[in-house]
Order: sequence, then structure tokens, then C-alpha cells
Amino acid sequence: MHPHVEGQLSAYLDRELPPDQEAVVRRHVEGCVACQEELARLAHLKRLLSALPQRAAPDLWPPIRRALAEGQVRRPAWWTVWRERPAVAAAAAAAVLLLLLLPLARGQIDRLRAAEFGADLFVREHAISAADDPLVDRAYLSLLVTDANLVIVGARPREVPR
Amino acid sequence: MRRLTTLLLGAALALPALPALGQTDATVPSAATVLRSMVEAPALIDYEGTKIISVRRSGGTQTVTVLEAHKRSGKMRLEFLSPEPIAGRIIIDTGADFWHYEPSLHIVFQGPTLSHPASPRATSAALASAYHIQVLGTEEVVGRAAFVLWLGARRGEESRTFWVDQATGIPLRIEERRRGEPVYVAYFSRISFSLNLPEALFRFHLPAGARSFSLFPSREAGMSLSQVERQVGFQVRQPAALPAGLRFAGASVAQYGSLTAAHLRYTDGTQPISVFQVPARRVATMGQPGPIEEVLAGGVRMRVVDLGYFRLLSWEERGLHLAIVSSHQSGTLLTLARAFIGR
Repeated sequence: MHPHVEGQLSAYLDRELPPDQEAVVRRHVEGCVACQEELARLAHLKRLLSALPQRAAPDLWPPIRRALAEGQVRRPAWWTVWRERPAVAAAAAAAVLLLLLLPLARGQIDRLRAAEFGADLFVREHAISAADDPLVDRAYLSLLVTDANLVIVGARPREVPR
Repeated sequence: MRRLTTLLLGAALALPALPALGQTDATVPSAATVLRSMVEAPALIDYEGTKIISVRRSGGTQTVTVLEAHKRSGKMRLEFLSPEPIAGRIIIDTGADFWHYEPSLHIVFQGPTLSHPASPRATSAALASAYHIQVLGTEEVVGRAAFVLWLGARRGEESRTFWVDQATGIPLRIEERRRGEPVYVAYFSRISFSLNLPEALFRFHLPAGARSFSLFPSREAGMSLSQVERQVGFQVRQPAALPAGLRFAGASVAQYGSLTAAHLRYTDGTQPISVFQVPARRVATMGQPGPIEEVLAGGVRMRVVDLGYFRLLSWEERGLHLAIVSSHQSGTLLTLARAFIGR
């Protein structure tokens, strides 16, 4: 076989080559036994194929068009994802639950924290405003303010006198 | 037992003044003059000394020893010596800022100054209208001659006595009584005047590596009620009518973390009263910084906490948590609380 001719033998057999190339292939085949054998094999194959009975392909488009028109072709509903992809569905559900619960949990933490230092914040604020009293001892007010500072930031638990 | 403790405390605290009791001097100036010299002194005199503070609290006595330095005008440095839990605590009030260093925790706090200088003339006039004022005589405190200046509230049963240094006007000893019982006593066991105290003593240097907190929970001291309501997001309750002698002194917002409270201030001309309001849904059952005594006022159950110098009265009503803080006696706080009920 000669590669420069092999790719053209089928077209040569079907007389589809331009005249100048057809002449080149014809001259080569006349002098090449291998290409003559390949040409003969292709001709035999072509005869076999043409002898096969011909059947019309079914026309699929009309039923598809009808189904589309009637809305019979549907994508799976999104809420059936849990059946198709349970892990993804579970993760999404957990994320939604977390988003719903986060403000509630945070609000509860804030309430508890506010309850821990609320009274001390009030005492501190009052001590600062009591400094307006010209007769008050600033040294003692300072002690009250600084005691409250520690409780407010959670640095030291409140000390309840016995 | 409580009565005995009171008597012992009163006797012990009165001891330093006993040798000079009853002495009077024909040259004693008027009460107004002594009061004026005491009010003017902080702007004129520097001093440094060791102060002993004793406060009645929940039937016991809390005693604190502190090194106190004062520099004109409004600058203060405190270093606490005892009791143990607060030993080493340093406070520097620069007159602009208030610094608190807690060495045991290596924490620093910055807050608003407690120095609120006012015109001596206006202050003296305001005090004269709120108190009966007398000079009881002269006594000696820590080896110095002092005028004994007594101020009795025109309304209420509170009184304050100052042993005013004759030479400088600085109070060497302070005593506050409610219904005749001493609740607060402070005196210098040592004091030095006319020192040129260095400025550096009143400057704060942040210790290396210390955690620091900026605590300025008050927003704009002079707010209107409508401004406060906009900030806190709820309708602030006001008393139906103020008890006799009380007047509204201002409003602000107190805020730290998630807690935002309306802060209303009242005064009878002697000591301030603060009323705090916060929606009950934003705060769980509030912990109290002392033993609680429950009282019923206007059909509402209230909690009274004796903090020594201050008292805290709190209650919840129709979705609001209210708290009153003051050094006034509980009866005054309850009277004001009743004026808020049902509002």
C-alpha cells in the first residue's frame, strides 16, 4: 500500500476525484499490485453494502414535539433532590437550620451576658455621674468604678460581701 | 448585732478626733467661709497622703487603704494598698481621662474622667440651698488644726461632716451619716501639702503587653429624652410626678456589649439618683452585686441591694427592667420607684 494513494482509492472508486488526481491514481494502480488488490477489496465491500435491504429510519421528532406541547417532559422537582443526593440535601438542611438558630442562640447568649454585668454597668455609670457631687470622695468613687470595670469585661467575678 | 457593729464602727472611726472634741475658737469663721475654702481648695492645693476609707456594707465594714495624690487641677493618682484583692491597683485621672491598671490581671481600662470642676461660687450657692450648714468647732486631725463643717440635708436624713484643714481647705476627714448612723468615713493618716508633685506622676504609661479596654459606656451626657428614645429603640418611662424636692437632671444612654439602657438622672441638690431602663427581653434575670432584700411597692415585687455607699433597687414591669441607683436611703428610692409604676 502506498499512503499517498490509499486515502484516495475509495473516492477513485466512486469517481469523485478531480480529473488530474484521478489520472494520477489510475496510473499508480495500473503499476501497483497492492493497490489493485485494495481497490478490488473496496469494490467488493461496496457491492456487499449496496446489496443490503434499505429500511426507513423512524421519525422521532413528532412524538417529542407532541410531548413538549403537552408538558409531559418535566425536570425532576427540586424537593426530590433528597432522594437523588441525600448528602447534599442534609448539608443544605443543616446550613438552613444553623442560619435560623444562630440569631436565637446569639440573642440568648447576649441576654445571659447582659444579666451578668448589667447591675455593675449601672453602678459604674451612676458612680461616674455622682462625680458631679462636689462633696463626694473621688477616691471611693474610683474604687467603685474600677471594681465594676473588672466585672463588666468578665475579668473577675463579682464579689458578694458576707 | 448590727446595732453593736454600728456603734463599734462609729466609736473606732471617731477615735482620731476625740482629743479635740468640744474645742471652739472665738475666731472660727462663718460656715459659708469654711465651705467656700473647701470648695476652692482642689484648684489651689497639691497634696499627697495615705487615706483610710471605711464603708458600711451589708451589716459589715469594708476598709480600704490607699495612697492618694492630688494635683491642681483635677488630676488624681491612687494606689491601693489593702485589702489584698485590690492591692497594687493604680488609678490615674488626668483630668481628661481615667486610667485603671490592675496589675494582678495585667489589664488596663480607659474611661471618662471623674473630675468635673465647677465654679466655686455656684457650687457653694447650690450646697447652701440643699443643706443646713454649720461650723461645729475646731479639732485636730493628724496633727493639723481643722474646722468641723457639718452639712445636714434640708430634705432627708443624710448628713456630711468635713474636718477642713484650716491652712489649706482640704478635708482631712469625711464622715457621712444616714439617720445618724455612720455609713462612710474617710480620713488621712498622713498628708503632705505644698509639694511640687511632678506631672509625670499623673501621666499614664501603658504597661508592655497589658490587655487594654476602652470603657466609655455613656453616650453624649446632655441628650434630650427623644434623642435617648431614638438611640435605645423603646419608649422611655417617666414618673407620673416627681417626689417633692427631686428634679430631672439629664438623660443619656449607657451601652456596653449588647446591653443598651436609657439613663435618667435626678437630684435633690445633694446626691444624684440614676434610673436605668432596659427591655426585659434583652436581659435575663439580672445578677445582683450583693445580698438581695425583697420589698413590695405599688403591688410590684422589687429587689434592694445594699452596695455600701450605693443602694440598687430593681424591678420588672410590663416588659421593662428598671433599676434605681443612689446613695440615698432606700425609702427615697422606693418613693421614686412608685412614681414609675404603671407608667
